[in-house]
Amino acid sequence: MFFDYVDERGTNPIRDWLMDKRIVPVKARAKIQRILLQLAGTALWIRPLASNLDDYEGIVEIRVRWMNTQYRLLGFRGPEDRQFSILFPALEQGDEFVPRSAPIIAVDRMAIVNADRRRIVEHRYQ
Amino acid sequence: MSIATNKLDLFNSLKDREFRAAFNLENVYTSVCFQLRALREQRGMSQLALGRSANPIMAQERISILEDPNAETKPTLNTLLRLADGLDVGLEVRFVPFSKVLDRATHTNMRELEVESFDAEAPEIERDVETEIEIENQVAVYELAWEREIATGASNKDSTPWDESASDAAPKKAPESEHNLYYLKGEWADAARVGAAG
Repeated sequence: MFFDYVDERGTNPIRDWLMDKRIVPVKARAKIQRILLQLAGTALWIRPLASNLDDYEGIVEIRVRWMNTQYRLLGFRGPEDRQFSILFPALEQGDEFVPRSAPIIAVDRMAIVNADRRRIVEHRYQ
Repeated sequence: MSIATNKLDLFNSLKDREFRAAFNLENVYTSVCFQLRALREQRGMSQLALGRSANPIMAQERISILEDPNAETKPTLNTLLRLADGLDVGLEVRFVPFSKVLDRATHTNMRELEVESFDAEAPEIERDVETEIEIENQVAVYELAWEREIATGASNKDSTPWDESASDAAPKKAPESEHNLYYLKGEWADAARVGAAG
């Protein structure tokens, strides 16, 4: 089951990103949501669809390619069993995240979520 | 979140025609990618082995691409038929209402994507077909008996061919489906069978 990180004011940056057509066109959103739905029913995630980030322990990236854009949803398995929390949405260009700080932000948010379960909400497939 | 909530979210998104068209496309290709992997794993096959079972054979790299929803190359109908042959399963391509799309897209457990091969499924198909034939024969016997009843003009309640006590909803006219066979009086049907044989 997927969860989205929310900030201290309760704003859901994952949802806002997904619904922003300038960043994620409608067709890309359809693909991202369909893949998330499928992953929710799949126990074993394998490359190239998902992979661990070597330098950021615990952080997993879900990779979705639409047209020539590489979308990356950074998150972690948890805080409970069978849960995956999406922490930060990013793009990948030339082997680098955009923004570059994406994995660092994801690590920070993972610590926040682990400390306070109220900082996630169930992901909505909208 | 429940499947019903996911379905409602998706339904609301599908009201947007652009999203609907895009989701339709992604649903087809994503489903194929994941089902191909599910079927391969169900059979304990490697990508190489699956490629070799296709007719004509496919390279392992090709199978890897076909299992990747992010791959640029999308499978053609001919490719899917080759894989169906290798997996010994049927392939059905048909237009469906969006309610079906919603249903499939929200029931994504990998086990639900598994399909038995023809050989594994054959005993069950055989049993089902035999049952269907048996039911058809029983219906034929009943219909013949009913026609005889009409022809002889006997229409009093005692001679009704179904057991009216079996259900309040017992049919008041000749049953038209095998469902109504449940109301048949066994001895009446036997008599009809003897009559038909005579």
